[in-house]
Amino acid sequence: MKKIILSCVLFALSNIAFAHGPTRQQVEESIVINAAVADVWALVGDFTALHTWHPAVKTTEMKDDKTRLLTLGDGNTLTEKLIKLDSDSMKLKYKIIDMTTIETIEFAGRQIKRQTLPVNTYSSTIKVEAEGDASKVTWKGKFYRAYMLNPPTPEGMSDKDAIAAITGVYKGGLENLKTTLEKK
Amino acid sequence: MQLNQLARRFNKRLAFFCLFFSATTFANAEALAFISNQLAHNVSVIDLAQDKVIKSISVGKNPAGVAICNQGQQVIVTSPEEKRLFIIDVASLQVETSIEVGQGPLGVACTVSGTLAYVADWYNQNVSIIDIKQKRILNTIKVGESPAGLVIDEHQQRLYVANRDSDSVSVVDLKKQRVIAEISVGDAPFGLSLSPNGKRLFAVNVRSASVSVINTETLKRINDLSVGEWPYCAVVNPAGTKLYVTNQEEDSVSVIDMKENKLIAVIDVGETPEGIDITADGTKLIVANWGEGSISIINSETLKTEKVISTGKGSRAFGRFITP
Repeated sequence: MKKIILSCVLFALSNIAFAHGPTRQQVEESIVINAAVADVWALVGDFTALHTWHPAVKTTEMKDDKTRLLTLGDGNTLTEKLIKLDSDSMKLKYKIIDMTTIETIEFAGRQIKRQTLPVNTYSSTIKVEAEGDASKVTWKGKFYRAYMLNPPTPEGMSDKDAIAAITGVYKGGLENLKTTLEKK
Repeated sequence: MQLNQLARRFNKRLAFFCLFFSATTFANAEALAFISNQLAHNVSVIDLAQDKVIKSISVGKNPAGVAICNQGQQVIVTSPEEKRLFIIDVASLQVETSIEVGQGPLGVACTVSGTLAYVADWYNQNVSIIDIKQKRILNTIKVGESPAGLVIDEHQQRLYVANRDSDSVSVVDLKKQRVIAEISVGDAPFGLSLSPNGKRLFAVNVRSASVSVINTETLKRINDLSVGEWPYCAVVNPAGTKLYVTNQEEDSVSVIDMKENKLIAVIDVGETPEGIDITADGTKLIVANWGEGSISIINSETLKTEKVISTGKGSRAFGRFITP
């Protein structure tokens, strides 16, 4: 009996990992920085350097030349993979491939993982453009909410929660990027 | 008497002229694209003679799937979040009715005669057969896990369903209203397309970055063609010579020569392309760019983007969305 229950739980979990029923969401934030595009891109376009300008990121550890393990201030991690680095158009595209599971909760009879960020199938592009003598940095993300099944959603796992979390990540990062670069 | 004859002759000429006019100019002018804007909760209607948005129609929350029904007189848009289909009357460009269906209606397709619609339910693992006129669910057919793309083969009276989380395509006999075969394809099939003669079925495998080619006579998977990262949907041109596939993570469309079975071109489009369709005359390819809320209008001959038109946030257009 225990075995049957366990396999049912595993089956449910495997479904959660693959399904993507809810609506995919978008977040876009941008900032104008009083610095030359080359200087801004030198920081933004370096996949190994996020911890040098994002206040939430403590360290960047490269797992291979296209995979970084970010450790945040709270100790939770994000593993991200570089999809495309385009230095000509100053665009960097990456996706999250793994996150720390903070806790496993039971919801609607299923085991649900609460992870570093309340998102699923996340990919993002950050780009730099010249705006006069200054630079404009735009950070754009696409993702699903953490809870992939039918509503109601567990606390902190709705579309709104996902949008709020990513908006916070982008705003916080961009503001500090501006501070860092304008100090130079 | 003479006047009568003259009038009759003139009428004949007028009738001939009208016939000619409606068969050529008029038919082209009538081609419309219906783009579901998932994050703007509406549908943009684009006149493909002028390449202009002529209306935006409010539908339910987060519209996704689109189907052209009733010989282009009606359009169905699905809202998985509202568990409803919205039926748009093409003549008035207004929502005429909505029908509640299942738990998460997503993919949708119509028969040519247009009285029946087939709707895949993402959560309920089935396809509902709906009588549009009577606004009634006639039957539901169990298929695989997370059914997404649907395509109807009128000649063989079949429905093909891509089961994203079973990595398979279900073959439904429309007369018997049951699954007669399940064909294993690549990892996570989402969009489907059928060649005009119905002999080849293409399943777009999101996770394996490929398209599985199926022989519909033997119901066997012949081979897999490599395309771009995270491909989503596909369409075959009316001549049956080319297959076009949207690649979400590469912001591009792969063009495959069907005779040679190989990739012949990659077209750059907008951010995160999803839905794709081609006009009945095969000249214009339309791609919905989810990531930037626009459509790319591509010349199918030169494979160049001729125009990019703003639609609404989250342009999805999952299904066939151009009227004949």
